[in-house]
Amino acid sequence: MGEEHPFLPHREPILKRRKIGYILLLPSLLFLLVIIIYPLVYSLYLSFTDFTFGKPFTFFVGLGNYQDIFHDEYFFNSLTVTAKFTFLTVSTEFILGLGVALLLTRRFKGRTFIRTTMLAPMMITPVVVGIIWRLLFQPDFTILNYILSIFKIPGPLWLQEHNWALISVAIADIWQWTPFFILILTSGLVSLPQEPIEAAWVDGASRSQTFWYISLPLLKPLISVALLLRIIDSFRTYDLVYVMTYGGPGTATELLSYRIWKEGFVFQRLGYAAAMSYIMVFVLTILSLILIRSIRRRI
Amino acid sequence: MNSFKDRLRKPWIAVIGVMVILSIFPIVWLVLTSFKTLNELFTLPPPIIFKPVLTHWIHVIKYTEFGRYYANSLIIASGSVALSLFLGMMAAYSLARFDIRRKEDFAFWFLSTRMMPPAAVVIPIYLLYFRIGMLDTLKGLIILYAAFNLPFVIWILRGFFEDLPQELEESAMIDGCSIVGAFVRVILPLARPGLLAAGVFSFVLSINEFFFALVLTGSKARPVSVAVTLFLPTGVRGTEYGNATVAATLIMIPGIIIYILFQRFLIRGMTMGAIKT
Repeated sequence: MGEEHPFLPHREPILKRRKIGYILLLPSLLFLLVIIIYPLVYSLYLSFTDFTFGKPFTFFVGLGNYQDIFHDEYFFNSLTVTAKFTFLTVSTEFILGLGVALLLTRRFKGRTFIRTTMLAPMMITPVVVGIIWRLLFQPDFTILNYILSIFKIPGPLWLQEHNWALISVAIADIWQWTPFFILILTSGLVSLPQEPIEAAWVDGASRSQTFWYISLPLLKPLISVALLLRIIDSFRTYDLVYVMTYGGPGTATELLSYRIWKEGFVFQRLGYAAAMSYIMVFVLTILSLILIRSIRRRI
Repeated sequence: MNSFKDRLRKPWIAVIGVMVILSIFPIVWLVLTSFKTLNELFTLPPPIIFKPVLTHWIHVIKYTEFGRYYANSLIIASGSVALSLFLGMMAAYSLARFDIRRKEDFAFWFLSTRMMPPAAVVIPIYLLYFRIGMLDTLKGLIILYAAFNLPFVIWILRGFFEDLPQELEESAMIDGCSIVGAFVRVILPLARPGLLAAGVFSFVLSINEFFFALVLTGSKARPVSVAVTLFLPTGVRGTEYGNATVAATLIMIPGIIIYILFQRFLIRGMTMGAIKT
């Protein structure tokens, strides 16, 4: 490559540089094609078969699995549970995160330290988060219900109660991921252009008016990216449920990922599980396309 | 005047105080619990002051295989970081500097692989690994995690490469370097913070991963995230809280050290380099 014209960078043969560019890109492209795209395609093929561990023959069943899914009450249950979970977690995390972010934009002593401690839950391994909250939610002997009893609030049985189990898992997720919104929104608020805000002050707008009519609209692109990222991740949650409830009591906390895992690796119906996972791929592809569009618009 | 202002500040200081306690308390409680005897674990009101005992620590470290699983995790994480950095820095440099067609489409294609549900990939990977004898091996997880870290590495590094002025390579090439030489000798050393950001973030992601590890490993290559669930209830006994809290505390340690040492870099990874602090 030494024979290029070093003194005339603009005359440098652009095709040649382009070639090097492609060569550098190629290993990563191939790697991801083999590790992620090939499995995705293979999974699509599996979803049209009745592939099961230990069954000697595999037959092509066309759309049979997909037809079965639409009559599968467990599937619809897991879809509802996932939708509830995603809505509950992401909306709470966003509102809490926005509130804290607004407080943290004020200047005060120890702000950096406080921000650092508040972001800590985000850095904890999700499985450990599950263990932590499993411990706190033990109704009979841990501190959470004891604290509640001081205030004369009878604590529920958390993970064992049908109506509370999903909320309990959601609380663990909220604890871990509210910091994500705190992080994104504080830096978003700090880097807002000051002129329109000052202009509004001069015109006599109140603090809340400036927030609702100036800051919030300016933050909207950032907020939509953060929300979509969290929706995608929350929709795929698996670890927390495995550690905290095993999907129970009954099927009260069976998130979609958990259901797919159970169909595939507990009941060994891999073809059926693959078909279920493709419905998930479909939802996530749509969400990702919206996300990518909104990121591209920002750039 | 001053005291009036102070009184105005109090409510939101209280709110922040509560939020800080809520963020930290569960972590502290986990660590405290690991030093309690089983009796103290089941006492109400929970003793705030107690004589710490090392029973569970000694049990987990000496009499279980947790140490070996811990080593597995560290090997898997380091290996996948090395592999994804190696592949990712080339791709990121290409996307940052070269005049290639549909550059943004490539960049976003990489990003989109991050959104795919593990549940949809895991079945074929399981069958593939089963066929080629890679189930329950360290290299199996290293390769897989490298693929999942790659989009992050590419996006983070690309941002860092773009921040470096192009004149750097141009003057290096005037001095007789090839493109590769300029990249290795000039750009890489300057992009060290970027490599660090991408590296620590992928490291933490790899330690945290659970789903693939659960499906693809058994007793040989099992990493800590799965090993800790061995203390959860089985059909015949309940949760071993003492041992589980020790294991969980041990798992948190690398992440917390990295967070304290490399906070800025880790945060940049978390936001995919969108926030430059």
